[in-house]
Amino acid sequence: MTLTRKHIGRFGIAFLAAVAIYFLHGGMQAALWEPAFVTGWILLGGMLVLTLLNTRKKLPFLPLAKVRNWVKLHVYLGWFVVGTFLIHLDFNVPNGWIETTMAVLFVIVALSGVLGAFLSKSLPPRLTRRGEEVIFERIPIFMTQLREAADDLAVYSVEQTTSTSIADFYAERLRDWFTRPRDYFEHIMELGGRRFALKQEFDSMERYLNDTEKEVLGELRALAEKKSDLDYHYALQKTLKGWLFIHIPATYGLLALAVVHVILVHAFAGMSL
Amino acid sequence: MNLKLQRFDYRSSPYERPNQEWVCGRLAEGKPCLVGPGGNGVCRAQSECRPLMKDGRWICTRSDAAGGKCSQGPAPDGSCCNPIPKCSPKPSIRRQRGMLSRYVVAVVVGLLLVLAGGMTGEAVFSPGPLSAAHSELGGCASCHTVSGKGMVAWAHSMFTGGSETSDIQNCLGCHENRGGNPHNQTSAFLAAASEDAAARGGEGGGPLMTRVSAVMGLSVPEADGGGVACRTCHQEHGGHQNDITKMSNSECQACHTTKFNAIGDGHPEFGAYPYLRRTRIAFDHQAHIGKYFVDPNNADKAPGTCRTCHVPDTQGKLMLFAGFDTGCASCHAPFIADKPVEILKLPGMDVDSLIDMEADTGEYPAYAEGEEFQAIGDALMRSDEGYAAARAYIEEEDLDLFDLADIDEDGQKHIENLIWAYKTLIYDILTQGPEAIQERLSAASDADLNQKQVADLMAGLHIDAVSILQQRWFPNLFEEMEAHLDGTAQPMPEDEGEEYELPDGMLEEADWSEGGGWYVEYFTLNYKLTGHGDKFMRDWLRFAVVTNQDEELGASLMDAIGTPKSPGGCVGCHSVDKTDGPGEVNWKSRQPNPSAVGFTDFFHAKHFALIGDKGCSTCHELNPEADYTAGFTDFDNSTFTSNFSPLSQKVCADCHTESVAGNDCTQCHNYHVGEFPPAAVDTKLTAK
Repeated sequence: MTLTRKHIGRFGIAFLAAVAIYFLHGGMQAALWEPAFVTGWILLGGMLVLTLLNTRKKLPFLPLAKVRNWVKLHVYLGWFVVGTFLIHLDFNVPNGWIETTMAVLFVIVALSGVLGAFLSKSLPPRLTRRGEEVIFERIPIFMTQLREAADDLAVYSVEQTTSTSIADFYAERLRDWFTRPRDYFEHIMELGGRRFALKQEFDSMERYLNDTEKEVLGELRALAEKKSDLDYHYALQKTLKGWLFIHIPATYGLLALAVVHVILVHAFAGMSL
Repeated sequence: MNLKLQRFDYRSSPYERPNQEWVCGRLAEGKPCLVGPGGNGVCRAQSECRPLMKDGRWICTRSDAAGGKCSQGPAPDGSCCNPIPKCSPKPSIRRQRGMLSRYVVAVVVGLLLVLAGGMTGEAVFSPGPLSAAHSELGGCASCHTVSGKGMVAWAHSMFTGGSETSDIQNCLGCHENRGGNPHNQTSAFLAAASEDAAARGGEGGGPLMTRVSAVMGLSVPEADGGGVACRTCHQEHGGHQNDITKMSNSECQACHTTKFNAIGDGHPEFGAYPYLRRTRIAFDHQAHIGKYFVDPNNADKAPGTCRTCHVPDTQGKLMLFAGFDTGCASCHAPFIADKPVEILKLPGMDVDSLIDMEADTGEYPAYAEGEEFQAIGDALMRSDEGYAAARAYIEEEDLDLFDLADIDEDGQKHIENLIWAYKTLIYDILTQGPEAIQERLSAASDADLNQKQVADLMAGLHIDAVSILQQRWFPNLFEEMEAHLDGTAQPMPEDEGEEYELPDGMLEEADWSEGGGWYVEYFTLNYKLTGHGDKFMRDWLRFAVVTNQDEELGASLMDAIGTPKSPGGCVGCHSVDKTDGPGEVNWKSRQPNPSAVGFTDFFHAKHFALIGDKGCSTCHELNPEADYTAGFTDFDNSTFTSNFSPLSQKVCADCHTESVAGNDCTQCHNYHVGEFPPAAVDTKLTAK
């Protein structure tokens, strides 16, 4: 992932917009106005626009610009909203219960958003580089298919070789590994230790087998590699979907509190709209 | 071995709909059915296909994606031979995310409601702890009138108008006199102050954000009821340590028309500050330091440093005058009580002419020699119409009382009235006591004097002194007055009597009263001052300047006792302020008033360690050209020339930069100007 002039340009616009808010805030403060009301409404408006991305995704049939462009708007508007948030707080830590909870939720939303943007940029190329393209929802089906194929192969090896070496190896070392997704963090961090260990075990096993057994073991090795690739895709795709489990719920929690906050500040500051 | 798992052709790969709410319960096992659950999460699966009757036979309709037509085919009754066992559908990822979002919102709102209604109550809604000074205020309603009305009312108030005005009243409940106009000043004053500041320079446009607000065209918001709302400047809920009085330089300059960056960068010149008014005590520093203190005769009395006479107050703010005993007495004390105040002196009369014209006066001492009327005696008699008319006649005719041979009948009548006025005064005092004085002074001054005030003015005048006076001046006063009051004419007797003489060996009255007090000397009633701070003088000067409402009487009294040359010479040092309304005799130099807040504060004591060898003259430099004493020729304390040169702003600006001593406006200036006594509580006196 490299920063292009377009990235810098868009970020620059968001930054300049935040600087404009900073001067708006400072100018109002200098004139003894209460800038928090203005920055607060800008902040709330910005957050509502950000949530429109989710709405846009649910309305694919409407000609409301491409989702790709909505995502760009979401990312850079998000940076602007982060700046506005800091200005709204006057770069201080809030100390009310509601305000602190909101700030914590905002930080969670912002950090998860930054993480999500990073993941969305960095993980897809990795998915392209390894294994075949699979739909996330079908991975359990493919995993079952691989396990069944491996089971069949183990039975077949006994029939063909009259030896239980491969079947034993499969039953003891691989059967359980084939049953469900494995090695999540290893794949996320791209460590490869488990994959190497598996290869070592296959290599060690191969030295004691005859040609027929080696052929069967080769097929089993291919299935294991496929399973490892599937685990890799599962880990990365799950991560790509998983960060939204933080980002979106926290957003709605934040919006709920924002409504309460808006009512309270207007009512208790004695100011009507 | 073909290990391709994912196929995308429609025959081998059913269409994936990730936006569906439910997925087949067997997906986790890797064996989902193709039918899938309904939108309500109920399993819809029955069999792998729905056989079709064609040409009298049942035909399998299983899709290619599900494996194509099955080998067994439908049963004879037309049912599929591959029934699908029921499952418990699972929520899709999207649904799980949506449910989590709803849970989070529910938890947040639920917690809010539980906490708001529970033990923590209002604390949940508070945006933070109050500052230490306000931390003991009970509940939101102490300040917020909208408190306690509920969320619906709060939301309603967003659209129907704020509670700013009523909230301000809550603030003012404790902080009296602080609301309203900026600086608690009138618009006219503020306009004049702005003009004055503009005339003294000031440039730079103000700090950056001040200039930004100018570009935005913002002006200071007015509260609903006019003026500036408290919360415009004081933001609460910032925590116990939060200083809610802190103001930025930009905020201070929001209202000011002359905008500048800091004290060292564009601040208007100080102008006359700190010499904004005449000193209360007239002390010519230039004359004393340059002339009197260097006189060899005074060498042992002259102070060595400024601090001999000037000491800081307990706050270290003002430099107070150390007082008469420390600063003045060594030179001035001996001369304060060197001449008495003549209270009443019988005027000298051409007694022979009065006898010749058979004037109705009763007896009158031929040896009386007074040539003028005493102000205090005059004050006691001026309510007597006969006396007042006589005095007016004498002044108009420029009458010489020692030569009355040529006066006409009218003149004779005035002289008779004048003499009876003196007799009546003494008679009244002897017969009615202080009430007579109270009545006469109240009438003369057009002020309702009380007993205490009269007692103060009498300064312990004993009836014996008046009695002696009567016996010497008018021995038959009581008989004469009775006849006079009956309307019986009493020609002046031809016997002029004898001049009073002290018995041999008796001490002169003046000598007896050396230490102060009343005494009668021949035909004069005198009061001898007791020294500095004499109460009699203080009370009469106060009467003349403050209590008295009669301009003519005031002027008369001030001529007699209110000049530097008067007995005691009080006014030589203690200036009198009187322009409009009641005046004031400045008995003391400027005194600290903990309740008074001015526009500018300067803490002298904090700066002592910073000034070098020049000491006080670092800031206060004597101005030899200044005509200081000219400022004390009238009662207006604003027309004066200071003994000192104008203060140099540079002296302050050298240290008061952002990085050294700070350059916040509020380091020197106050917003709330006026008298603000500390909040007190009314405690009823109770006893068990």
